[in-house]
Amino acid sequence: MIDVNIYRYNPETDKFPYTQTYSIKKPEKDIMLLELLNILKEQDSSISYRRSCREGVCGSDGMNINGKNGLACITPISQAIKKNKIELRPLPGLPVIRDLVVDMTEFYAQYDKIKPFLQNETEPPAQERLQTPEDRDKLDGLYECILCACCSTSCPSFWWNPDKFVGPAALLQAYRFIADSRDTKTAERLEGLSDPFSVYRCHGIMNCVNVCPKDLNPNHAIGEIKSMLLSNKKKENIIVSDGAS
Amino acid sequence: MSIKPVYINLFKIQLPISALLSISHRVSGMLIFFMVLPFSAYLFNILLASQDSFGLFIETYNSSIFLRTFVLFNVLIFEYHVIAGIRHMLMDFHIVSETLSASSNSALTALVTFAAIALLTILGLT
Repeated sequence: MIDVNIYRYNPETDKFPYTQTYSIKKPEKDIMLLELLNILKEQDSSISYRRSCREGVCGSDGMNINGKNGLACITPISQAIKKNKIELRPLPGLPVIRDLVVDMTEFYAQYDKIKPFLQNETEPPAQERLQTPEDRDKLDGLYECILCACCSTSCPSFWWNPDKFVGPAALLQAYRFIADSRDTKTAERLEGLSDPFSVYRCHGIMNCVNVCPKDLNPNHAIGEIKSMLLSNKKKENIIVSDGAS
Repeated sequence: MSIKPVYINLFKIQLPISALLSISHRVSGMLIFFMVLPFSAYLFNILLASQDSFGLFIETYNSSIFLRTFVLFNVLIFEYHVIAGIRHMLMDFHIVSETLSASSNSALTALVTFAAIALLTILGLT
């Protein structure tokens, strides 16, 4: 038997959240955590969680599994279980709508802020904007993000300033477009991130890298953005001082 | 509409060693600002005021274990902040690569360095 301890909250009936433990026979096969949740839901249909693709592509079932954010659908129970117990909590730092379902409005607002689309005002060619293989390679490790919010919700800076700090997920996407050779709004994108909060609240604690279910490295992208902001400032200072002299 | 609860339990949420180093670096920075710096300025004032006050302080320092421990504590906080800060800068300047293993190893190196320097400080001051 294994104990699955789940965070429960129903806004219609509960004043405060609480946890509930379900004992379940340990499955013979090493199934994924989402399957285990599905079995539990047959016992208690009131358990709420998001899920869709069940193969780590949609990013719906992000949750805090034994203290570490991850996707339930690609986390085997053998990996999740600790001392015969699995503790499931909603993603930290975001308002809980019900049980393991969180309100991701703030997360998407930050994603919206970085303008996650290609901006190029030059005349489009007849077929498509081409890239060299080298330029295309620069997007590897950036475009694969599925926006599951595991990284941003494991970041203490995002917990304290979800409205001002863009967060690792959106910053990874910001760098995805900054690094794209076809995008012509690099300067504007960097300008939009140059305030004290958007990027500089990241202190490189690496929790985003630690939890990313797709093994991406938002911390590296943030470091690159910081370096570009710094070299932009240097260039501005040189231009200003040249103008003055 | 009622306020939705937010789950944040620092005792339950796992943080890597680099996170613990970064958080403790900030805490030590706050302690330096609110405790170490004012205490050092006060001490500096006493030590430089006159020969008598200097002598009195040395006498008190030698006789009071509380004062000796407090001074040691202040020095250790400062040392910790400097060592963790150097690691932070090495990462910011991309000298330490931004991977989880490099970050954890550099955090561990910083802690071992601090432990060695702390040991030397304790041996030197006591």
